[in-house]
Amino acid sequence: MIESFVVVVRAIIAFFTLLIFTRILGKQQISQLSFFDYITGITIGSIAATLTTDLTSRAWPHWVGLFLWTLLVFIFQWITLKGRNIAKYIDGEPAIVILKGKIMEDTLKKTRYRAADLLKLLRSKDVFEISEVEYAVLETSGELSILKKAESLPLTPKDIGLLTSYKGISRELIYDGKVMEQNLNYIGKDEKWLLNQIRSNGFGSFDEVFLVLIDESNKLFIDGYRDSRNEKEPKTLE
Amino acid sequence: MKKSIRILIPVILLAFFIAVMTTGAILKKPMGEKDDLIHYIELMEEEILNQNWKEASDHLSDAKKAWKKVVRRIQFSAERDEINELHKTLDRTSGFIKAKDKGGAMAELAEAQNIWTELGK
Repeated sequence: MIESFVVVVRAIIAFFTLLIFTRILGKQQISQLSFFDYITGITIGSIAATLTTDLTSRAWPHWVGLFLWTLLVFIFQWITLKGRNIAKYIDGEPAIVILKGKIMEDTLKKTRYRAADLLKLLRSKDVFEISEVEYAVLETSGELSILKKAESLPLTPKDIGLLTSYKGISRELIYDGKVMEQNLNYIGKDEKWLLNQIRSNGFGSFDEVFLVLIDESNKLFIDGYRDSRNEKEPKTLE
Repeated sequence: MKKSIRILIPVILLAFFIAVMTTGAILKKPMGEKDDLIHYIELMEEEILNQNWKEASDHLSDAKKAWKKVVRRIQFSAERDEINELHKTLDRTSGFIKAKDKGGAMAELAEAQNIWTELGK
């Protein structure tokens, strides 16, 4: 028996099982995870690691453990999606830790946060004076959400009545040298048109272009592979 | 990709993985002529009880060859400790046969049978 060969097979089993299970669990981002979700993730990963390398026990019991942890997380996810009150009970609730520039010490104690932790989180949000904060909410994920006082908010075009043009979302027309046919069809253009556009920007073929984006105001952004090339400014279509 | 294929791929993969991990008890059963370990152990016991040490040694050699074949099939679904332990009992039996020690050899073979029963379960 070659031990390393057994490890290879077990690693493949653990890897693809984790991949399938995490896909089933959904697309929750790390920043949205509660502390419990985070610990659960670590536990599942740890079981997968043991499944791979612990040859003193069979792979099957580890796999069953992996499956059960995933199943329990899935059930909890389903329950918290269905019932708001249960979700609050399981995940906890966001807590207001600063209200109109004043720290809520009792809430801070309940959430086991020190003043230093709070100041650190504020600094990470570019807030260096607590008096600037109208509300600071400690989310269940441990992140701090801040609403600054009106006088401390940055000036926006809306504040001074400035009209802005609509930007929308950019679409990729070329990605890594490959033409995105679907997006090209969506905007009602063809490859010939695209080739003309990149040629007018100093490129010979699609292969020379790393990325081409078009926004909803039909403004093109073109980036070539060779950064030393004198690329023209992004061009606006007629 | 079609939804049915998207679902079918992980289902087939998981089913395959489960099969690899749980078929030890099936795969340890003899599949050819010379991989019936438990048969060779029984033959060995008979010869040892009759103190036919030469025949017992021949059967032990066959048992070791059979064990090598079985290990290849069950290595992904059995505990490594159990595999090693059975290997050791066969080695120890070899020593007892050389020393013509009936009690020791029989004890080792009983142990081997016990490990075999639990193997891959």
